[in-house]
Amino acid sequence: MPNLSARESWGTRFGLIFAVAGNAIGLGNFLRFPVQAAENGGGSFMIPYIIAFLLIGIPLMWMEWTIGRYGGRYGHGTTPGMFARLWNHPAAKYLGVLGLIIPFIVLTYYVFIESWTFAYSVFSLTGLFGDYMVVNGGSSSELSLMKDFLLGYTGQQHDPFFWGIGMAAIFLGITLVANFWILYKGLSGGIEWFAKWALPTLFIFAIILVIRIFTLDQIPGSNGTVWQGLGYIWNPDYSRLGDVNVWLAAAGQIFFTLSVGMGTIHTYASYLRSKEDIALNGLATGMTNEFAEIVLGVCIAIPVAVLFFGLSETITIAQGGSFNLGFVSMSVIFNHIEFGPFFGFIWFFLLFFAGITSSVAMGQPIVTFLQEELKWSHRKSVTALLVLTVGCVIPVLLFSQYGYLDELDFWAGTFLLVLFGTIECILLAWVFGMDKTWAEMNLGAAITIPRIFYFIIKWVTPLFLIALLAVWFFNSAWGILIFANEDNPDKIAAAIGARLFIVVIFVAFSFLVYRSWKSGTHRELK
Amino acid sequence: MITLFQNTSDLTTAGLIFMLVVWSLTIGFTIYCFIRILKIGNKLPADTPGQDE
Repeated sequence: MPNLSARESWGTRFGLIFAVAGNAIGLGNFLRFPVQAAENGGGSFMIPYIIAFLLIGIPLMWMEWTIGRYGGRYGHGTTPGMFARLWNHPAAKYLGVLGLIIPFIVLTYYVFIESWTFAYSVFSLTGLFGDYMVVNGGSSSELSLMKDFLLGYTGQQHDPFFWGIGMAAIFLGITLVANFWILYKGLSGGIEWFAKWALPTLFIFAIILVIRIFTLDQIPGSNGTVWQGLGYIWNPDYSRLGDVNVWLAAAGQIFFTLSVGMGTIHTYASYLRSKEDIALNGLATGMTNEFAEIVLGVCIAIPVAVLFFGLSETITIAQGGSFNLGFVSMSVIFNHIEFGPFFGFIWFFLLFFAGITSSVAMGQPIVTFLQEELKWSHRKSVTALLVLTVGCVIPVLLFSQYGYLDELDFWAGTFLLVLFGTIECILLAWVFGMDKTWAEMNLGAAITIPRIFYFIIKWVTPLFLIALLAVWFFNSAWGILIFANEDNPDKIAAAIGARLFIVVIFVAFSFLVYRSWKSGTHRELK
Repeated sequence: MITLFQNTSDLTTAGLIFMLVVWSLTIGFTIYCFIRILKIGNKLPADTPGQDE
């Protein structure tokens, strides 16, 4: 029988909540959310978003805490073992492999983007953006120059200002070291310790930025105001409520922002005692994430961009993607305001903190799996993950300009999240049984979960998720699979490479699961 | 003049109410959760998962 004391545990409730909230609060809150809101009609987006939060986000959050704590009781910190407990069938553990590969694949590109935020915070402080504009200025607009800066820095286009991808590789290396140092220090001494001061710092930085943005003077030549930005997002607009794509985008954002359907919450919750509250903890992490997103996140990028560039230009910028809004336009803005280098540093370092608390959470399921199911030491598990991550991040670094990163993000960071969320929802509510689920969810609960969530978890959430998958399948699946909208052979090759990578990782982790069960290293606590 | 006091009508009354209701609920629930946690006690027992079976 495994040594019970070998499992780590959380030290404090706030530490636990900050760690899980830190997992949820990431680049999605400050970069992806404003872009999704702007792309999907602003006021039209918020109503489906709030409905999706109530019908998908909160139920899935509670479900994942439940699965995690239940699995932890039997010594399972990852979803292969947890799913095998929920469903006594040989296939269950292989469905759980998704809870290992999704966070790992997302980690391989997320950590790269995270390294940009760290690099940009350094560039802000050192005034590198201004230097770049002086060297490359001319007839190009500042937005265009900063776009070139990002493409040059990330190696997506040749730029003599940078040393190929050398500078990006250095910042990536530093980011990887920071991530793995936290993972190496362990659950309580690393992740919890870091979250306890990173998350409050992140909130303080965000509040400072909101105050600064709302006290800026009117920009000469622009008729935009921060209220116009807020109005675009909050003024109710019912015209696009019938558009299924707006609903898909809102549900996708809920998955991304809460980090549900990923496998990370399960692992964190597995380190709870079996009668420790999950109802209040789950709600607290969900609400903390929403505070970061729809109270703070909504007041930064869009309002300040509207103030500087006007509403229509901001919508165009946002439609160019999260990087266009968060990196390109914000660099231009901070180059123009008083103490811009300082506020630029705060913005990008806020993103870095948001990113790192999420990326360590993505690494933890693999470390836990190697430790518990293969009986590797903590040091060996962290080292193995580091080697694997470095190996898998190299193609991201080299082939981003061909859409390799976007392809990984679409499949692992979007589609598989919804698929995994649907699977776990059905397993818990219908295979394990809703009555047992409800009893487990309420065991040790510090708050009473409203009874209506029994009905929502059993019927509404799974049907909502199945409908999302079905609509996506009939609307877009075939075109995406056969690259109907892509004729660049390099991009098609990179996309095929990304898909093969996902398949190979799935097969490799399935083999490890098979070996663990077969060789007996997989053990359950009785 | 700072932007905070300019063209506040760009956010309509309905938009302002929608925003304030959502913000109040979000901030209210967040504060409620943390107060409840403080009442329960911040410290978690030192024993490890599974031991209290």
